[in-house]
Amino acid sequence: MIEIEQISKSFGKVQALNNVSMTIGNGEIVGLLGLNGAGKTTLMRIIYGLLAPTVGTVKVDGLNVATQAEQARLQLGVLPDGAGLYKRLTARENIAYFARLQGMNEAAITDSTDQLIDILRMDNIAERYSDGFSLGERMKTALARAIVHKPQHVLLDEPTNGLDVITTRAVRALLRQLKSEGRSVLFSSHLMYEVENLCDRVLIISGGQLVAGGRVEDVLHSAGCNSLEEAFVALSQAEVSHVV
Amino acid sequence: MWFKQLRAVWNKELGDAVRDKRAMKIAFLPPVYMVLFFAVGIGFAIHLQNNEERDIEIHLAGQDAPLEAWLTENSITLNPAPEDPYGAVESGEVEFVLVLNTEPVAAGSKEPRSATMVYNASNQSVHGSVGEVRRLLYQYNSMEAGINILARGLSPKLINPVSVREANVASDQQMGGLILGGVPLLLLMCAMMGSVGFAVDMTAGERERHSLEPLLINPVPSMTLILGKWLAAVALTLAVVLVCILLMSIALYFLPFDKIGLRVSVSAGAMLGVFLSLMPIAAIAAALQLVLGILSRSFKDAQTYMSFLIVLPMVPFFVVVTNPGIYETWHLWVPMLGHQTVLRNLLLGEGAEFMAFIAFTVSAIPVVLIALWLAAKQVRRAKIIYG
Repeated sequence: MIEIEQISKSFGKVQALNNVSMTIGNGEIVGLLGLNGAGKTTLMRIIYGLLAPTVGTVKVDGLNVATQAEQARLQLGVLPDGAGLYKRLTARENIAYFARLQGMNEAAITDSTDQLIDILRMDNIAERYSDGFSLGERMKTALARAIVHKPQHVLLDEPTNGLDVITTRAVRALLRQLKSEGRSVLFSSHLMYEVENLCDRVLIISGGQLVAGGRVEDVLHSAGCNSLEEAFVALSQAEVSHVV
Repeated sequence: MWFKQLRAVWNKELGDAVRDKRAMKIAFLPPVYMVLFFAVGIGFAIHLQNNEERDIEIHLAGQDAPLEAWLTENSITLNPAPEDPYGAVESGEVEFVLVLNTEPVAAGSKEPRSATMVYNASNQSVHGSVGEVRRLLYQYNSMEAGINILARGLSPKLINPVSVREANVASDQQMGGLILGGVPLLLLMCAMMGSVGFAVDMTAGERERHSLEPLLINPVPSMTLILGKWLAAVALTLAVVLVCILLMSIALYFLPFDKIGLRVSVSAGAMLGVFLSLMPIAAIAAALQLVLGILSRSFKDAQTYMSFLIVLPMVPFFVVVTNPGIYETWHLWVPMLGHQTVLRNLLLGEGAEFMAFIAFTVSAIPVVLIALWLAAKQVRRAKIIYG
């Protein structure tokens, strides 16, 4: 379980996050929605501990990310925004390097890597240097690298960005599989239908504040809209005009 | 666990570096051309020193039989000058014309005669001949004056109240030291810059290609990451240093130092000593490169900082070269300062005291530790990861 308690973050005079609290339980997929600059990425960075909150705490399975960073990170698999690969390593080597840093043994690395290469349809790029990969190929490699150690909690910043339809489906299937294994998934996205189809819960963040959260139906109900897109726009705009 | 992670970082960085053609060129080409330039330069210097009895050919206008005889006696070849000596020198047709009186000198004449040296001072190659001819002219002057004074019953000493002599007391080895002064600098630069390309890729490169953030999300202590990178950079630097020493040994072996009476040692023992002396420098260099690299946003940014490292070995070099004999034992404890003396002594076959190696190693430890600690501290700052 990931517990986010009253997180606020400011950069100088800019308040990026304001008193955000939420919980992500095991075995659930949670979608994080927000306009550009709403604070999604900042929130993600605070959860995986590379950015310190100004106020508040984040706990991963009871481990405080600020004070027990390494133990907490062992439970996390993260695909950050714009993750870069090592271009002189093959896709497989890129994945294996992070697996070794996670402390996996070589046999487990081979098994897990083979499995992910299969699920994400990466056979044709597995042994190629990642220099010259297309955006989709880079995303797939970075995604495989993030979850190769089978983490309990998976945080993904726009994981289907740049992927073709077939691969997007493969990623969705992968996320469902993670869920069925009792792992939790938090992912941010701009694609409403993806969130609608995949997520157990939706969190909408706007102007650094959590403006709505719950099952898709609940969010639609509270916003008085028929589609998630309308609800999202209404909630985000309301907050923006409120802030202005 | 941390040892496993350290090994993973070390393996990855080494493998990545070996595939990095650009960094490989930056690392292994400079030793090749530095040693090549050094060999050509020193070879030329030896050639010049060795040619003391070079043939000087000059052009002569006018007549002065006794003076001409004196010049010819002193191995100066005299050729007839073109009609307009000044114009010919100006246009570069000839380099140097000695213009004498137009009238032949009558035997026993005591009239003052003139000798004008026409040359273009901006032409560097003429200075040797001009100096030699000038010296011979002054010598001829005082010789003839002496004879004239003597003919009048006076001592020639009267016209030479101060007798000027030159005595160069530099021993052959000291002369060798002067010629070899650049070798320690060259070796230190090899050690200082050997892994620059790799270290920059491991630090600024991680930032530039946005791989630092995912890397740091792994449960790896910052120090383990930096240590792994540092060990890989040191190993690569030592490979560069080894190539540099090997090439330098070949150059020193084939350069004809014996022609100028020098003994330059390229024994295996001496080269081992040189390598051992450079090991702590490689450790310092890699650590400094990492800390400067992590502060750089990109390769370009890093280049600005790295130029600082090239200057570092030059400071002790100029201190020692401009003050020969300044050496004191405490120099051994200042990284790169003691190296100037110890490396030169090793090359001249004088060996080095064991204390020097201990001092080099011990004095490097705090520098390396501080640099690595700084790098590890910097690497997790939000400004570095996201800046």
